[in-house]
Order: sequence, then C-alpha cells, then structure tokens
Amino acid sequence: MSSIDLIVGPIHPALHEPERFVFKIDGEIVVDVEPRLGYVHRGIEKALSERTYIKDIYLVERVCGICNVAHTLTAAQAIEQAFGVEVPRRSKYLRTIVHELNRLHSHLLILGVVCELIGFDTLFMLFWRDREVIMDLIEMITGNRVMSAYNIIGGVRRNIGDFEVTQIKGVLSSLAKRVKQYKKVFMDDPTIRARCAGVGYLSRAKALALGAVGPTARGSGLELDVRVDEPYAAYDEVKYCAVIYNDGDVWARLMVRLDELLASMEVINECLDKMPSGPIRVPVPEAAPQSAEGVSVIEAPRGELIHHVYTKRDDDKPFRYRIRTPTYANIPAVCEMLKGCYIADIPAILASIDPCFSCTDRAALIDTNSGEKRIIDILSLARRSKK
Amino acid sequence: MLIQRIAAWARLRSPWILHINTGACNSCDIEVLAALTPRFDVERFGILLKPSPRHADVIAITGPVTRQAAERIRRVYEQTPDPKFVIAIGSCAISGGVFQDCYGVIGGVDKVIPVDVYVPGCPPRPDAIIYGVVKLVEKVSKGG
Amino acid sequence: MVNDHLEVIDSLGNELKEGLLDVRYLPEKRALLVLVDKALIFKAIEALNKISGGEMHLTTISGADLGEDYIELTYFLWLLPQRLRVIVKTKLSKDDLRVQSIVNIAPATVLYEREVYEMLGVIFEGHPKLERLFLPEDWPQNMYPLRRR
Repeated sequence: MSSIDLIVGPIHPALHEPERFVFKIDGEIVVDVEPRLGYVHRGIEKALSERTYIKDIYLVERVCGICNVAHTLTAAQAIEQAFGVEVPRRSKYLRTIVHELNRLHSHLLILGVVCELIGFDTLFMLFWRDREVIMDLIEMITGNRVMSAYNIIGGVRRNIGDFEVTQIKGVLSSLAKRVKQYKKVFMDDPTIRARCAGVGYLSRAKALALGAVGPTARGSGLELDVRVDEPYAAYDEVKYCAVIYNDGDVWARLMVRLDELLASMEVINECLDKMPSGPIRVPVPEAAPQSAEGVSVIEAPRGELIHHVYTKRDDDKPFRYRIRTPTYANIPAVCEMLKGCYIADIPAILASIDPCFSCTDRAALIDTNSGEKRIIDILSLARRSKK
Repeated sequence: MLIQRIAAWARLRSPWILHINTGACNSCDIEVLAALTPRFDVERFGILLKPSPRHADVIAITGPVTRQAAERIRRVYEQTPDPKFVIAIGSCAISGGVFQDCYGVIGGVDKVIPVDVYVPGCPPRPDAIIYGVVKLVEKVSKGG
Repeated sequence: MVNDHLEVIDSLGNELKEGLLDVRYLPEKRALLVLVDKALIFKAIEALNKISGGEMHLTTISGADLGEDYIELTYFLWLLPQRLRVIVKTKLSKDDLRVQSIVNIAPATVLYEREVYEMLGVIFEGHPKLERLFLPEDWPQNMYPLRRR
C-alpha cells in the first residue's frame, strides 16, 4: 500500500508555536501525524534573561502579537509576585478590561479565519469588520491598535475616564446584538454544521491526558478555565462562569468562542460599573529586591498561559524566564484530532485550536513512491476541498 | 516592446502580493490581513493577496529572519518569476527589531534577499502597508 | 474546599515516606510546593495522579540552570477535583543529568521533555522520542542554549 507524506508548514510566527506537520496519508484519510517545530525559534527565553525587567515587558509582548495583552499581564504579575509588589485595585480592573478586549479581538479573528477556511467568505468579512471596532476601542484606551504595551510592572500605563466608559459601553451593546446573530448562524447554517459538526473529535479523557487548554479543552467538556479556577486581576470580584460544550468537535470549539465573546462583554461591563477610583500604578524598584520565584498563570484567548521567572537579589535582569504558550500545549491534542480525519478537514481542525493561524501557511505534498514534490498552500488546499 | 510595456502597465495596476512570515510575532501578519477586510479593502486597488510564489509580483515579508527560515525565503525568492519586488513590513523585517541579539535570529530581511521598500512600525497600520505598496508602484513606474 | 491541600499533603506523605524532602502550602502563589528527590519524581507524579483520581492536568515542565552545580526541574500540575495547583520540584546534579520520564502517566509531557532536553541537556529515560524540537539541524551537539557556564 502506498502511503503519502503531506507536509504542512514550516513558516509560522510565534516563539513556541511554529508548527510543521507531516501527515501520513492513506487515500484521503490521515493515518498518523508528526509535528516538527522550531522554524521560527528566536530564542526569546534566553534574550529575556539578558535584558532588564523594563525591557522584558516589551519583548514578551512580541512573543505573540495577537494575545500581546495576555503576555504583558502574565509577565507583570509574575515579576510583581517575585518582587513582592501589590498593585492598586483600579489597575487590576483596567487590566481585566483590556485583557477581555484583547480576547474579543482574538476570538473574532479566529472565527473569521475558520469561516474562510471552510469556504464561508461572507462571514469572514463580517467578523473582521466587527473586529475593527474592537481595535478602535483598544487604540482609544491604550494608544495603539495592536501592540498596546498597556500593562507595566506595578500597574497600567493609562487611565480611562467617563468618555471612554460611555464609548466602550455603546460599542459593546451593538456588538452583542451582532454576536447573537452570528451564534444563530452557527447553530442553524447547514454549511457550517456540515463542515464542523463531528469533525476533529477529541474526547474529554484524551483532552485531559494530552494537556489540552483553553477553548480546545472546554469544547471537549473539560472544566479548565483559569479565570474561574485561580482568579487573577479582578476576576475574583466579577461574576464569571466557564463556557463548556461537550461535543468535542470543531463546532463545539467555535461555539465556546462565540459564547465567550458574550461572556467577555459582560465581564467588561461589570468591571466598568464596579471600577474603584484611586491610583493606577505604584513605583517599583528597578532591581529585584529579593532572590525569589514568580509564577503567573492566566487564561489567554487560546488557553492557559504560564510565565515562570527566577529573580536574583540586586540584579535588574531575570535569572531565568520560562514561558509556556497555549498553542504549544495544544499540539499533542491537535495531533490526536487529526488522526482519522479527511485531508479536506485538516485546515478547519488546525484552525479550530486557534494556532496563531499564520502557521497554516504553506504545505508540500510528497509522493513517497516517485519522490515528487509539489508545494501547495493551505488556502488552495481548502479551496480544493470545497469542490 | 509594446507587449512588454502593456504588461508593465497592467502589472502596476494590479500588483499581486505573496505574504510570508519569517518569524514575526503575528501582529504584522494580522495587519496585512486586516488590510484585506472591509475597513481597508485593498482589493479595490487591484492589490490581491496570493498564496503561491509562482503567481506573485511582490513579496511582502514580515518578521525577523530566523536561522531556520533564511533558507526558505531564499528559495521562495528564487521561485518567484521576474520582475519581482520585495517589501519589508515592520521593524523586525527591517533590522531584526527587538529580536536583534537573539541567538535564533539572523537580522533583517535585506541580509538574505534584496529589499525595495521598507515599511516601518511595530506593527505598521494597514494604512501604512497600503502606502508602502503605493510607494513601490511609484518607484517601479519611474523605472525603479 | 479550603483544606483540601492538607489531605493531599497527608496522602503524599503516606505514598512517598522519607523521599519527600519538603511539602508546604504557599499562600501567595495559592499553590502546594512539593520537593522530592529525583529518584522519586515518577512516584510523586503517580501518587498525585492517584490522589486526583486520574483527573490531573499537567501544565508544563520548566527547567532552570541557576548557575549552581545542579539543574532545577519544576512540574506544574493542576488537580481538578481538589482545584489545587501543585508545583513539584526536583534537583539534578550536573554530573548525572538523567531522570525518569513521566510520559506514561501524563502523555502531555512528550513535547515539554524534549524541550528541556534540547535546551538544558537533561536526559529523560523512557521517553519514546528524545530528539531536537526547536533548534536548527546545524546547531552543534552538546551545546545547550539555556545552560550557564
């Protein structure tokens, strides 16, 4: 029996998330998957321990440009813990608001990309149109569209006033209506049901054993949400319930994200109402006051994100810095999902874990018998699958 | 001669762009993609994003060049038919940006392949990316 | 669920006996810190898996060379039924960087162990495929980017 190797990759963005998959294929069915990583390994962990804490915040932000707020928030929390600094309550609320806005833009982005990959271009454009209003809000609060550099060690960089509060509330209330509409489309539309329901199944037991995180785990019925389990920032003071779907397929993972959009908007509104007044940051020494260890775990848009830092007394650089990004944790799980699926479903399944999507960039088909190599990209793979 | 001039004219009216990422953090990539969507909509200028180097006139590169990606972009550059132009998008593609001294990074795109237009910013706004393409078209129409 | 960590401490003590070097609850990290001898790392993770009834989520393994003559491995675990974060730490002497792999208990470690191997040179015995993960093919052998000299 001739088997074919299908190579997806290697061009991919973020530190721990460069994915290149080699698929062993029998006919149209994927038999086995082997991930190969590291095409864009930049060595950020090493660079972090060669720079000062202040510069590190800007470097961790560039681990991933999509969930940059999640990274700065985790880094700030980990370093504050090691320094023994307590930040003002108002800054915790502001951090939560910007973190949730970041999640809104990230979820809208991936929902759009999945729609494009399954051939629903209209919905892709609609999601991305709605994402722009969130980008405007982020720009208004932080001063930049993408790289916000909002969280700093000891608090946040900018305050918000009454004008911003009314603006945010107005935008969110109109966006909530649209998201409800999209949710209806995802529930009823035959195209989406046909391409997503029952595709890329991951059982709860497998999700747990393989260490899946975030919407990937919650789509398989695994109750893992750091916001509920280990509340950070202002999450211990706002109401939040984890969104769980038990289907374990692509559709369930997308529905988790859609429901989280609505939940995030409620969190932002509650934060805006409850936000205490007071200072937004405290002064922090440049060098570490003690040799200590800081650990911070948060729920980034893609799942659990952990930063682990060792500080050394009187040194202004971290001794060792470790980051584990959510997509990295989801790779064993996505390999499991891909086994037994059709080639045509590969793009949708890969995108359903939200792998910082640029990784699904180019693919090469190698016929093991003739050794002939054809380079195709995942979009034309998706286009081929639509026929 | 006439055919070449017509081809050059047509190409300037509709540059097809291949986007590759050589180790970027994703922020430039989402801004490139955002330029396609309703708010910015570059397709109204005839600018199309193409997934294959065989179809592209312009290669838009984001991110610092990592050790593993250097060979790949050189190959993509060779696969692109002449005449071809390169736009380096973002601080990292220009000089390596914040990743300059990381052990996995070689530096800017111009260390590996020639670059025609640089678009600064971290990340540049979609407006700036469109402006960069316009600058390239101007440069080429003046005999580049 | 306030005193769940006390029960976990008791059961760990019963399972590991004197191999358990230290165990205490860190309120500022809201986590249970467990220090074990490297020979017992497999047993410790197995015991925690048993305590949680198989409902254990492995967050990550992080390795650090702190400039001393040992390398510190940190296992971050989350026990679902107890809703408890557990941090298991062990120290490996640089003369003997071998430790038992825990892939059999938690398949999630398969990539983390490979990463610690290539970054710090720790050898996980029993790992099905201990190869390079991130570094380029032409990276020199026996050179570990995160080691301190």
